[in-house]
Amino acid sequence: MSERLGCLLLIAVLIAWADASRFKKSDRRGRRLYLMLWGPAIYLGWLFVTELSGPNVDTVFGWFTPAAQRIVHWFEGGAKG
Amino acid sequence: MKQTESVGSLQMAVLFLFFLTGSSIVIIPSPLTSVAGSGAWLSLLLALLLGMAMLAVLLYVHRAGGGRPFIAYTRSALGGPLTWFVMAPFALLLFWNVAGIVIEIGFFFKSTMLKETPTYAVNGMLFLIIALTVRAGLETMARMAALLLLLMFGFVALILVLVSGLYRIEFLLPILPEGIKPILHGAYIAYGFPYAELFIFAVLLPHVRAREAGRISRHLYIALAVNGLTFVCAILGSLMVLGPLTGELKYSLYQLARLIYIREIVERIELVIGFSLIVGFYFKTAIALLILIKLLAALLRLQDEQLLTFPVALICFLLSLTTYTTESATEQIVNVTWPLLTTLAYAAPVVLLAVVLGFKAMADTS
Amino acid sequence: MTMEADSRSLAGEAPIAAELASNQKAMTEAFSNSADLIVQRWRFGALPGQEVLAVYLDTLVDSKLIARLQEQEAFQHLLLHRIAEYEDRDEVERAPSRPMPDEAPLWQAGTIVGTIRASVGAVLDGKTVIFLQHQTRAFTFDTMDVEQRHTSEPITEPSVQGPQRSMIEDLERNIGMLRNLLKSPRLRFDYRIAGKESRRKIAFGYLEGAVQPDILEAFLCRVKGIEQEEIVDTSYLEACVGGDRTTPFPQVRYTERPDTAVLALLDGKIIALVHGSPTVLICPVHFLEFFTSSEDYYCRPVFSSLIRMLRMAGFLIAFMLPSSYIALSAFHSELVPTVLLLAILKSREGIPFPALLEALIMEFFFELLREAGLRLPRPVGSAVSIVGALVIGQAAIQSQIASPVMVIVVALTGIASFAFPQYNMAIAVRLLRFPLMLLAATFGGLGIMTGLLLVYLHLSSLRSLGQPYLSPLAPLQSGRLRRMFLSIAGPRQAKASSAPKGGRGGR
Repeated sequence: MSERLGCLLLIAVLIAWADASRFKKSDRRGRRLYLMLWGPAIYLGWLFVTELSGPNVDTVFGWFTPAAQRIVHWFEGGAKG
Repeated sequence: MKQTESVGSLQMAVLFLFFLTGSSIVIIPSPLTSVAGSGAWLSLLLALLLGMAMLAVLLYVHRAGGGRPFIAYTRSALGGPLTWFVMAPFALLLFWNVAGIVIEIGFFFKSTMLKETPTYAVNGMLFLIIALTVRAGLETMARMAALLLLLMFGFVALILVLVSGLYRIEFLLPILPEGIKPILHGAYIAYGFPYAELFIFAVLLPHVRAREAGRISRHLYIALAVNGLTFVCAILGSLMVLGPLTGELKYSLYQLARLIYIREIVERIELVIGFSLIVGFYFKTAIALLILIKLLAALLRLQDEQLLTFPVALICFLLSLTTYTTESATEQIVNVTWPLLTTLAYAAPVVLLAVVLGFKAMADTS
Repeated sequence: MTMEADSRSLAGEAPIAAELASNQKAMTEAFSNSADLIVQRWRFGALPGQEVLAVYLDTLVDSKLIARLQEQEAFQHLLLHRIAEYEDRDEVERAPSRPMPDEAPLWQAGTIVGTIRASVGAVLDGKTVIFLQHQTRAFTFDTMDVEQRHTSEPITEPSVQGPQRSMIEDLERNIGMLRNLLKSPRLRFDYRIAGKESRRKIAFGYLEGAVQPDILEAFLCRVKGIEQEEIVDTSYLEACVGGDRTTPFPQVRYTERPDTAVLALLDGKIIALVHGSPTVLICPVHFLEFFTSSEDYYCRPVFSSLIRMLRMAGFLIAFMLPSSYIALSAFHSELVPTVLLLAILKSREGIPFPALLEALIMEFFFELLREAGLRLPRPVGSAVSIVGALVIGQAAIQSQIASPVMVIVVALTGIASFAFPQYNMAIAVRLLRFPLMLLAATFGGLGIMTGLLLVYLHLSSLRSLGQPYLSPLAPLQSGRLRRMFLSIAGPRQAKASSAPKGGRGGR
């Protein structure tokens, strides 16, 4: 777990350093959006480091799985007839 | 102040071809064959026809938009709130799309060449170079594409040629033992991955140089045809060598490469070929990430789109590590849910746009 | 120091005084009483108007020529009687009365100046300035004779066939050599003087009609501020012209051969020369050009294409061999044919270091040896390098610091990097080998792949004077590529311009 955290922190520092000049040059809107993007990143990072399975994009995709499976069944149903 | 990047029509077509072929060439034959058997190539042709139709819709929307940026003409056609409602799922799916390709590469490496390296290291390296590529901008990427494309296609052709000694035509029959439904099923999978994804190119098409805009339709159709042809060759090649096993073994082209054996010198070269095939994955992901930041920048009305590159890449990187971390889960989503998701999130908005713009055009002329 | 310089420059704009004494004072002050400044009064007769003041730099002029001039009657007549009649030399040609027959060549070698600053400049250029009584103009006469190297064999760019001349340190002679090889009226040179103190003469040359206008414009834009810089050598120009400084890859090319420069001009490139340096700068340049040399055109096309491909292979070897060895031996041993693998394993028995460390140590010693070899005086040089190589190679193997395979790898890499015609590209490759080795040691084949893609990405985004650096590879231009590697196009033709100006066409 600590190596994951270390890795992520290193990446975060590198990104911050790489984007520093761009960030300073951009307007308020840009800066706000940039910082907002770090929200999901931090959440996902936390999920990664702690290896928990919190709500994520796959949860959203999971809502569509039943419908998708029915479609696939239709394809398979005919064949198995 | 900010110069809009522009690329040639042929370069755009190369990017298009790369995007459609990049990761799919390695992955596609296996799931199609497992549902459609020896008729997999028929499935692919069906999906290709569907792809052509989708390309037609895409080109119509692009032309009806008058060469303006995608979000600009969407906003004027649908209005602000509806644009958000329609584009939010588009963007969300694209986030995961980027992550998904890297998840696939991660599995590919883990199961074949880099068994000990932890997933986050492999994915991290890839995302590093993907993000740096996107930072270099569309024009640089368009310049790089041609050579990488030749490299990728070259290796595919090399594999198919070097295993030709093992081809057994009888594996191609029987074609339709269980009726048409399995073929349709295969077509459904191929439609979902990769053809329905072509709709995201709506974001890039406005960047074609104005004086070459007339040729873009022809070039894109040719690209799509080349893509289809390549897939068919890959499927036929895999079928002729691996036979009924094609459906069971993932990464068909890689399996073919493993079988190459010429005297004692040229053996086990699947490693070299494996690394070369990665180029396809890498560049496809870079294209997708580029499209994503352009989309987000336009939606959020941001001046400097490159500012988003690293944070978005970071999010996709973390998505690749936290979602669908098992191979079976990934298989499930790609084969089962993905076609539905792309239809709803990618296809539906563009089709809606086409309808709205079509009505507007009719209303204007009447 | 600066105040004196300011007052000097103020005095510089002053016109020449009618009195010899004040001119003498002004010139001596301008040169800060330098010991090699000679200020002499020459007398051509007993009358007061027959005295002139000659100023020159002893170290620059040919003293024999000056002594001869003093004897010449025509020269005396010119100075004492003729100069007063004319405002400047052009007037001489328009005058109805013809000068004395002996005077004509003297007029041609001289000019008339009106200010102290112009006089100072003339003296610095090796001329003798002669001030006249009651005249506010002075006559300057070219008397320069400085020790010049004769044209010799090119030291850094030897070739088997083809001309064996190299350029020297004199700007005009170099331009003369170029004009001799390229007798086109469209060959155009622009002069600049760079630096307040060094006052170097710089020349930019291009073939009008062959060079693309946007390239020329980009170049001229880049060299706008050149007059402010102190330029000592052509390589100083690279900082202005070269564009991106954060890359190890050079964006300009150098040569000391006139034939290479002429070929570049025919290709539509711009060249830059600096007085005092035999090297010519060529720009814009793209990556694949670093694998060409002028010798390619003196051999048959088939051979030159093959040799170009050999150089490319050399590049790949120099770049990738150590990292491939590390990746293969540490990560992907199954890729190596079994027999070879056994040999490698046997030779690596007993080596305490992992492959990466072994490679780094050997590469480091090789680089050290290479640098040392450059600085050694010639009598000592070859002996030391042979002994050094033998000792390092043999001793390293016997003491089990390195395996024989590693020594071979390092040696091959070194040889491959010597195959580059261009030194500045070779340095870039030497540098980049090391990060690639680190990547290979950490990630194996994936690391190498990533490194290669990063280099490719970096090269694709570089531009040289606005031109994509990797063209014709990226953007892919198959026609140019074919011509570059297969040379099927036939005899060389100068680039035809899109809008040819007057004069001779195409060739």
